[in-house]
Order: sequence, then structure tokens, then C-alpha cells
Amino acid sequence: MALDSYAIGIDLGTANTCVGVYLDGRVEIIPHEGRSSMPSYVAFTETGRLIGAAAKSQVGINPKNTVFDALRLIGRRYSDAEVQADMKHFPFQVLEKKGKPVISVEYRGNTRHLTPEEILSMILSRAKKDAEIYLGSTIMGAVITVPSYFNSSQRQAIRDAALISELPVLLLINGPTAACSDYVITRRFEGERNVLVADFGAGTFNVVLASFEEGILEVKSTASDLHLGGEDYDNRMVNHFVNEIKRKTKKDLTVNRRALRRLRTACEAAKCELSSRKQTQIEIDSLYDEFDFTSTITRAWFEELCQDLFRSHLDPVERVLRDAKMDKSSVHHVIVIGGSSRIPKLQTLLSYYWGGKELSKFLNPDETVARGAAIHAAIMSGYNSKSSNLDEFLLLDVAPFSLGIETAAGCMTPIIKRNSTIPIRKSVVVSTYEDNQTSFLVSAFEGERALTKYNIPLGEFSIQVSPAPRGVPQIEITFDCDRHDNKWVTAAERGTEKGKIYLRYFDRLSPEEIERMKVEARIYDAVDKAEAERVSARNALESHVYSVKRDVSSSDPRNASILRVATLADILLRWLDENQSAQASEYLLRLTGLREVAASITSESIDTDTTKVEAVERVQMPVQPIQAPPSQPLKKPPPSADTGADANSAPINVTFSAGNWQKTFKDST
Amino acid sequence: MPPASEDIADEPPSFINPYEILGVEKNATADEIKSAYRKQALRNHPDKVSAKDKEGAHESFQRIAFAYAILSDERRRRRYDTTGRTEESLDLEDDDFNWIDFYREQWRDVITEE
Repeated sequence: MALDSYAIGIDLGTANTCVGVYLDGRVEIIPHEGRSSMPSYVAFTETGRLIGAAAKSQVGINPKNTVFDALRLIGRRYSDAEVQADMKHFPFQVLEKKGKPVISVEYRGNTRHLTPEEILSMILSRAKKDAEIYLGSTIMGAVITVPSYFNSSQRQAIRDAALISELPVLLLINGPTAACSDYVITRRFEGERNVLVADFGAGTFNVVLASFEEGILEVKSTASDLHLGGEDYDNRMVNHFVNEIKRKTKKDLTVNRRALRRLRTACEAAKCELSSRKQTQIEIDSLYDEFDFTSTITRAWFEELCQDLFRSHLDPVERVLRDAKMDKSSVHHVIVIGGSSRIPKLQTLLSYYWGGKELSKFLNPDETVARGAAIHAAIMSGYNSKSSNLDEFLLLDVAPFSLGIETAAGCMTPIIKRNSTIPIRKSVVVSTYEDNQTSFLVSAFEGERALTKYNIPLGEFSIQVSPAPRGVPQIEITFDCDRHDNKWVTAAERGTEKGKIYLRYFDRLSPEEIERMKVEARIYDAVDKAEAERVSARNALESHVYSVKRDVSSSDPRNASILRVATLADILLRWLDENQSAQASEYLLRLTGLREVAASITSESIDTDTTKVEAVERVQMPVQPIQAPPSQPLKKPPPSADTGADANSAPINVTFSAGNWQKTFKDST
Repeated sequence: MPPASEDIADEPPSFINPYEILGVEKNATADEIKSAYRKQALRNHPDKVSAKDKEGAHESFQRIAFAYAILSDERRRRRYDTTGRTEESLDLEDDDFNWIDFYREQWRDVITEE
């Protein structure tokens, strides 16, 4: 069934982004350059911008301008410990701007400061473009998955990134919840099924417990450990080898950052190999001072190194069971996803916890989150075809964090508790704590800590109360949370006017900033398109020159006009070699000239044809000294973007196959 | 949809009859209540309705969830049956170590004797 416009599911990951679409009762993964997922990389170069596989493949030659891990920075403050720690590993530069991290890159000769929102918007718009090309249709919106530990600020930042890329967000859901949806939909279970999803990420460990019956997937509880993941195992192995080297050679590797980074890369590879082999070798040539490092590590030794880390995975598992008031014996399916789910020890650990239970492994743990997101995209867009079983499927999601107010002495009093099914509305009645108080301040916070100063402020306002002894006025405070985790709070003394605010994190991008970034995003796209056209025009000229040369080489070299064409081809070839980065229009001018000259000969017209002579002169005419296209300060669309239109009037159409994309570009403006 | 809840907030939840909302009998079993809740949720959840009905669905789902919260909790359901009270404020205090805990202990004894 073909639709005019599709809704897609996007698993926006730290390392990779995967896109799915629900078509005729099943999910298809949308390819990115022939692969099932796109590296979450954006690179900036002298000539333009690269997104996805092309960006990742050139990271070695352009490390300072290749941005990855933007998901680790988004929605955070520059001063956050996580940001400061991550910055030490990033080859690109992170600066502070209004308290938030921005990434500094060189783009077409200019320094640009980009927010993590802008980087992710580029990845999202590429995902959208890949989907548009694959489906041959426009994209109406997307369900995007986020890590389950993301707070309101981080979730809002993802929404802002989508706004910049002009991709409507139908829903944000947690990654493990999407995987769970994929599982129950694909398996078509009858009767009640309790499903636990354990998501072993690179930096964090997330668990979701949900119950499925009569088509309803009800999330019961979620838990996370924010500092437990694949990178922690790498660290253990790195430390092990650093100590070994110190013992054997008396060298301290920790002072040599480059050596340490190379050791870390080797350890990560060794860890992955140990999932399928019992032992592996680590070999690093000239690790430092021409010292070649070689060592062996066994799976057993690796497991010993990480034993305590592995065991702490059980804490969040126990927490979700406790929060859901469920016994472990009532869990029917245990699903493991994420890179580290391949570690045999972690699988047996969970299996033993359930008394030897077999874990439910997906055929493809890398795609399941995108599949789940695609299912929800189909539901949210109202595409519930009769043949599908989505009509009778509903996800009851929960609030990821407790929502509450500050009470006396900076205490956090939760009103909507975490893991409450949303939408939800809850009221409490509170009172004053001083005599004759005339105003009452309502400060709303999000988080689980007992003191509000450790939680995230969402907004505050004050209301009037009639003076009375403390504890007498009755103030009703109501929290309202909708399907999309939008929150409002109302407060009033009983029997008076209500005060009300929409709660959002204070540090969000302003509408003006988003508008500006939207405009800039269009300019980035226009520059990319112009660059693609330029390369395409260059290729068209080059291949035509070679084809002309081939033709004349088999003709009579004494014929004056053939000789002239051959000479012209040689001149153009040399010109091409010297002008790798000329404008598209310059290539097209020469292409037109060459075609005219060549055509006049093949049609055996008379030598003295004036038009032909003119054409030859035009082609041979030295053009002004060629320089690289001037780098555009991002204020107006570059002139080279306009030459794309000229290209259409040229004898051959060298416009890059951007027709489809052009159309949607207009649609979305 | 910020204006959505403007009107909802004006109706105190205490006037809600949870049995009517879920469409179950007064003597419905826990399983019947669960099943009724699921059926109502499937029909009224904002994800399952067209764009123009989303605001209304937001409100009705909250009502259904509220009714289910009362009836799925044995103790709260009993309180509603005997007093007609549905306020959540009492419920919130359950976490505190106060006389309500003591009261609940007493009540539990009464139940086991029956």
C-alpha cells in the first residue's frame, strides 16, 4: 500500500542511527549507503559537510572536524561532570557558550560553533532524506527513541534538534521500550506476558519491565545505572595492561595520551573478540619509544577483571522488580539488547539469576529499537491497516522521573511518582508554614533526590494567599502530564483564582535561536547540494573530454578540425588538472563549448562555420585566475547554488539527482 | 497543547464514579476491572484517536486511569465503597510513618478476623 507520506522510526544512537518504516504489516530497515545503520557522525571540510558513513570514513584524516557522540553532550551543561570527562576523549574541540557546550569546527575556511542540537539535527535530516529516497515519498514525521535515563532537558533538546531539521516529532520513547514493543508485536503473544528488557549500552545500563496482555503493553518500571557499560570494561582492561607494562618495563603509560588511546582501541577490539573466543592477542607496534607491545588475555581473566561490574548489573534488575512489585518468577521473557549483550558472562549472569532461564535474543539486536520505533510511528500517524495487528495494540508508557514541588527546607515532595502511567493528573493539598503568609511560591522539580537542589528545576511561580495562621490556608496544587511528557502545574488557594504554568526546562534554545538554526540548516543543505553539483559538473566535463579524445584518436589526425578538437581536449584536460575546485558554471561553460565543437565535426559541416570558431575561441579563452570557491559566511545562499538552475539549460542535465529532495525542501518551508 | 487541561482542572476528581467510568458492576472482580480498564484505554488513549480528538482523549484517559487507580487498589476501592472518597491526598501519606500506618495495621486485623 503506497502512501503519500510516511511516518518513520529513528533509533538515534550515540554511535549509530538506524531508521525503520512500517510497510504492509512489517518493518523495513531503511538503508544508509547500503548499510542497515548510519554512523552518528558529521564532518566538516574545506569544501562542505559530510554526514554518516562518509563522515566516519574520513575521521582519520580530519579528526578535529569530525563530530561524534553529540548525544552525550545534548541537553547538558558545560560544567556537568560527564561533559568534562567526555571532552578529554574527544579529538574535536568543545567550548562553552552561555553555560552550554558547543563544538568548534572549521567549515569552508571559517570557524563555526555548533550546538549538539545542530549536529543531531543534521543526522536527523540525513535520516529523513535517506527515507525519502528509499520510499520515494515525503516524510510526515518520526518517532525518535532516546536513552531511558534522559531527563526533560535532554528530551527537549532532541525535540529542538528535530525542529531545526524540520522533522515533526510524533513521539519520543525510550529505546528499551521500543525494543519491547517490537518483541511483543512480532511474537503475537496470547495471554499475559511479563517482559524484561536489559539494554547493555556503551556507557549506561537500562532495564524496562513491562506487562503485555489483550494488546496492551503496560510499562511497569524502569531503572538505569548511568555509569555501567562497555566503556567501563574497556577501562578495566586498559588499567590491567598499564600495570603489566609498568611491572615489566617500568614505564608509566598514563603520561602518554596517544599511547593510552591506542591501547584503549586495542582493548575494545579484544573485548569484542572475547565474546566469541576464549583468548585473544593484543599487538601494538611501537606503542611508545619504539616498544612493541604484545600480550594475551583470556576470557576468564577478562571476566575476573570485570567481575564486580558484571555483578552490579543485577541491581537495576532487582530495582525494576521491586518497583513493579513483581517476583522474578513471574517474568516470562528476558530480552537482552545493546552491544555488551554479546558478552557470554553477562548472558549467563542473567540466566542464572532466573535459575537457568533461556534469554530471548533478537535476531538482530542492532535493529530492534528502530523496528519498535517504526511500529509506534505507524500507530501515531494513524496508519493502522486492517491487515496489521496494530489496531489492537497500545503502549501505556510511564513518566521517567518523579515530578514534585519544593517544600520546607528545600525538600523534594514528589506528586507524580516515577513509573506512573501517562497521561496523568494528580493533586495535593498543602498549606503555609509561616503565620500570615501572603504569597506562596510553587517551585516544580524533576528527579528522585530528596533535596530539590540535586534535582532539575522545571519552573516556578507564586500565588496569593489570604493571611492566616500557618497551616490554615488550603492550597491545591495539580500536576498534569500528557502523553508526550509535557507538564503543567496549577495552584490556588481553595476557592480562588488559579495560577498556572507550563513546565519546561529553563535552558532550552529560544524560538529565535531555533529559527536561526533552521535557516542555517537550509544553507548547509544548499551548499552541500551546490558542491554535489560542482563535482557532478566536473565529472561530466572530464568524462566528455576523455570520450572526445577517444573519438579523435581513431580519426584522421591530418584533418585540421579534428586536430583542433584534439588540441582543445588536451588543453581542457590540463585545465581540469589545474582547476580541481572551479565553480560548477566554469565546468559547464567548457563542456558546452567542447560539445558544440565536437558536434560540428561529427556532422561534417564546413570548416569555416563561424559559430564553431566562436565556440572554440570561447572554450580556449582563459578564464580569470581560478581559485577555490570563496567560503561563504553563512548569511546568504552562496551564488554557486544558483548555477544549479543554469545547469538545467545546458545541453546535458548535470543536476544531481536531487529532484525528490528539492520537492520536499519546498514542501517543508 | 497547553490549553488542553485548562478545563479539566476545574472538575475535582472526587465527583468521579470509578465504576461508571470503567463500565463495571459494583461487585466486579479484580480481573474484570483490569480487563475493562484495558478496553477503555485502547479506545480512549491519545495515541489511538485522530488528531482532533487528542485533547479530549487526554482528559478521558486521565479519568480512566484515575478510576482504575482506585479500583485496582483493594484498600482504596474499599474506602470508596464505604465513604465515596477518592482523594489522593490520603493516599500520598501512605509513604510516611504516621498514624495512618497504625490505622492500616488495625484495619488489617479486622479484615483477617472476618
